[in-house]
Amino acid sequence: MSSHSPAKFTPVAIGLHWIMAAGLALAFGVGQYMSGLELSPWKLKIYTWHKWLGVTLFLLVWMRMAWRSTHRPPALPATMNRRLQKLTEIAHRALYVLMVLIPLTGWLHSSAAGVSVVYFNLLPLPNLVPKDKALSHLFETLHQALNWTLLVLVLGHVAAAFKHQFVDRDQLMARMRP
Amino acid sequence: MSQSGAETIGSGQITFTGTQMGASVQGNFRKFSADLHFDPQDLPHSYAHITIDLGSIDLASEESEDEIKGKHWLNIPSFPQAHFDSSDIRIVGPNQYLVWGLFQLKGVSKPLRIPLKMSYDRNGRSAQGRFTLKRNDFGVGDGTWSATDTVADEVTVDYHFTLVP
Ligand code: HEM
Ligand code: HEM
Repeated sequence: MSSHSPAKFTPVAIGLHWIMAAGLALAFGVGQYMSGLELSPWKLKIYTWHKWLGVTLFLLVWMRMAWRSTHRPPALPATMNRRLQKLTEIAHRALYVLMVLIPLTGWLHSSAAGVSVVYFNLLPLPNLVPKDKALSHLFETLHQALNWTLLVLVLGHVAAAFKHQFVDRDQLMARMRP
Repeated sequence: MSQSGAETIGSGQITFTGTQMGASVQGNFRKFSADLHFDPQDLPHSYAHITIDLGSIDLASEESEDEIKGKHWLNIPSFPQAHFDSSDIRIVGPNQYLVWGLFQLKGVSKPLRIPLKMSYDRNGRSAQGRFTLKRNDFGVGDGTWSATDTVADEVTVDYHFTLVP
């Protein structure tokens, strides 16, 4: 079985993992910072950049999922019991779902607020729903709640990676090392 | 006072579209009223007086609404309404007209020309049109907001009214 399973993630998977990890951290930080600002031209600018970055991540996650569905990831180490392997699989799946839903709810929130998105001032994206205050609030709340869920999951994910590295010492991190 | 033959707006909408950072932002006013009379056979005696209750602005965001009601934008506590009073209506095509008049917003009066298209169906008559204003002409968005790189000067207004006697 393990002979069919690659030892490492592909360079593309590794590249996308780290580019997206950095992009998500930046989008999260910027989102957190900007929503506390007083309304000003600066706030509108930074909201726009946040949206462009978020849409970029939205595009990247689809490429990443397409790549993954055609390139098998390495099997988890046999030292992990079945339950833990299952849990890991669920957690990774949940991370992918969040990477899709977070930018999507951001886009829905912006649409419902009557603010369109013109990707890098070049490509006008359609408004997904008509302007509606209640809907806008709903998607704003969802966008926030999903972001906090992502934060919790990523902290668990990073903790798990560190446990593999420093407690189990099973070289799992090397599989994702650029 | 309404003269005989005066009409009012049965239902309708006034929406506007601004541009912030190159992307469109939609808003609308929920409350407005009109005293008007439109007779295609007698344009000289046709008129429109429209009053918009600016406090009824809907931007789908309390934060933006609070900001736009404040003194840098519409300054609604001092100027709660906007008015349009027509002075001249001319026909320019089949069921197409141009309405000249004075537009008052935030203490500034400027002449304005509004295109008007009348349509007739079983529910009666309706009027619609679209025109563009420059917000800086009216001091809407002053101070740090007057620069037009973040929020563009042009604001497009769309209206659609059904007319009832
Ligand atoms: C994966 C990409 C994204 C991440 C990680 C992200 C993260 C965040 C975070 C952490 C916040 C602050 C939430 C809070 O107030 O607690 C936020 C707010 C916001 N995000 Fe995103 N976001 C992403 C994508 C998008 C996209 C694509 C859009 C729109 C097209 C968007 C629009 C917004 C808006 C408008 C707010 C402000 C909400 C408010 O009014 O308070 N986001 N985002
Ligand atoms: C410092 C931060 C991070 C570290 C150290 C880290 C580490 C790792 C490692 C070692 C793997 C490989 C697991 C394996 O060999 O099976 C992995 C996979 C993964 N990571 Fe991260 N990661 C980090 C941040 C993130 C972030 C921010 C996300 C996105 C939300 C993320 C999403 C994923 C996903 C979805 C996988 C599964 C890949 C797959 O099987 O397709 N990671 N990560």
